[in-house]
Amino acid sequence: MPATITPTNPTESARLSCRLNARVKSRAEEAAALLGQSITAFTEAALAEKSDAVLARVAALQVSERDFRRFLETVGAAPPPTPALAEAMREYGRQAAEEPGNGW
Amino acid sequence: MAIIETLQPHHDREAFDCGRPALNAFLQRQARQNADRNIGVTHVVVPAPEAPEIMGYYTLVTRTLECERVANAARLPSGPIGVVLLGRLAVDHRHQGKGLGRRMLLRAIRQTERAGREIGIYALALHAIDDAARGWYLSLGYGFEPLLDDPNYLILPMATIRQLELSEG
Repeated sequence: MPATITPTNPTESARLSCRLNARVKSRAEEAAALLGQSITAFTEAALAEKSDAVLARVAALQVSERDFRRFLETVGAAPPPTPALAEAMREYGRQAAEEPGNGW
Repeated sequence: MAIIETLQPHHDREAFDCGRPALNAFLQRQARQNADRNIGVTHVVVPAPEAPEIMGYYTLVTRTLECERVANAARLPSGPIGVVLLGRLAVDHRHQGKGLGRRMLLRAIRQTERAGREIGIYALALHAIDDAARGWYLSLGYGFEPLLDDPNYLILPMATIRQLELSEG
């Protein structure tokens, strides 16, 4: 079933059109009716909730408290570069100098 | 010869095949959009200037690190913890085994150092896609430290990177 959703924000609104699975649409209408909401208000709230959750997860890396403390310990310890890293970086620099302009 | 540059429309993303569908799909579907929305920069290795072939790619983005639930907030910093996230790194199967992955990783470390001169960054972080990828990073011996509950998170502290004294550029 086609569904057209118009946000109810009075200051700025935009139109979103998308095709939905008929069963999803009919269940959404049923759920909205149970809450006494219009399908528009219900859809807008559901979209906002889902979007906030996804965007929050993208913006921040979530780790356990133990891992958070482990992270802070690790960065606080500031260990010197390993010999393998130091040597690899020197080699990287040599190679980059041999091919200037290649972006390395 | 190999040139590294940011992802552009003339690059042939469809032909890229590193053997891992998720990493191919990211390049094909998401990488350009992310660049357009300023949520990540994809760097690609190509064989020559203007060449469409992508030999390898990686993405860099800044993120904050947060903990899910805090039982005891004592002695935890209150401000945001910024990291550079090496989001993805992959080499096309026709170019694997030539050290390209290592070179891209080292470049990402240098870029992290440069970003850290102007922006507060605690570390270079990455989340290995699987055990094989995690094993590769650890086998290099570059000092990546795994977290404990999610050991696919690997961390290289900024304070360690700074000690490499990557002065120029």
